[in-house]
Amino acid sequence: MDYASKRRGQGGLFEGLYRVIMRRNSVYVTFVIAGAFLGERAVDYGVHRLWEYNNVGKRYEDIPVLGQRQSEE
Amino acid sequence: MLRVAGRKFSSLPWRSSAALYPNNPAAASSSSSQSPSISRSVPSLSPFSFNSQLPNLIRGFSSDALSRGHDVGMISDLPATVAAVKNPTSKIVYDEYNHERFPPGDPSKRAFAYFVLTGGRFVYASLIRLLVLKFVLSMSASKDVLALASLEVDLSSIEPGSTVTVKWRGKPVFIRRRTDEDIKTANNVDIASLRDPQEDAVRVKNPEWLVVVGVCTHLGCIPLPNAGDYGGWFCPCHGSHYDVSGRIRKGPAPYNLEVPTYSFLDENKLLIG
Repeated sequence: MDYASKRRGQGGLFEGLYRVIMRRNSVYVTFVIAGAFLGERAVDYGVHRLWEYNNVGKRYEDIPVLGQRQSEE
Repeated sequence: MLRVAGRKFSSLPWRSSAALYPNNPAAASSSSSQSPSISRSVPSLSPFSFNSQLPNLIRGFSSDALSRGHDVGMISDLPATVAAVKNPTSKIVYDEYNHERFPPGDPSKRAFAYFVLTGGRFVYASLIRLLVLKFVLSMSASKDVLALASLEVDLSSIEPGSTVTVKWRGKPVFIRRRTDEDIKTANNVDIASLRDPQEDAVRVKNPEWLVVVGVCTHLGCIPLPNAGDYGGWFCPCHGSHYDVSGRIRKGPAPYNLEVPTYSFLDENKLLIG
């Protein structure tokens, strides 16, 4: 049993957060929505970085200056 | 079936099981486990009953181990649950074989469990948002339709005084490059006398270029360019005359030719719509 509040019950991390967030359902729902928003941003960022790392040098932006032809249009 | 098994176990020589555990201090009295008097008078009953139930525990028949029926002698035919209701005791026995217990007094893991569930709910909320957006926005116009809604026209090849017709959203659009004369003519009209009074300046962004939808406002025919009495268009269906600014002058049409939304991109490009 290796969790943050080892047998403290009264003042553990989870317990404290529980008392703050899970008293009222409205607060809890707000917490869930905010957490979902932030979590989605974090996951997007993480996956984006992972993708870039895995595909180094293959992006459109990585092409050195496109050859300057006579610009039409 | 468990009751029958219980009876079989109760008929087994308890002596043999007790003999396996010589360190059991109550082994001597195990032979008299059938008599009710001894079982009820022994205060520290739990270690004794634990060891005497050992064959049941090995087999995993927890209901027999937990029920007090063996100590009471299983005299009647009651199922273990009924017997338990009829013989309430403060000595609650938990099934330690199948379930690991927190020691009594341990705090519950309620908060931790709830936060695990909250983590799941983050994912569900994100999923619901995604689904709602996808389904609702799927009903809006797709990109190919939006691309069809606009048209780019290259104006460099249009001579002054000539008219070009392009197809936009299924309708013809007249693009006329007007000469200064045309512009002057368009401005020299008495607005009040028009059926649909509109200044020429209101109808064009750049007076040199007139962009109107080529659909007659009467019944929808396509007027012919460079025809009619006013130097503009003439609708052959019912004889509506439009002038250089696309305004109705003569004939049955009620309104001027419609001016679409347009804008000038680079110097020689027009974006309609």
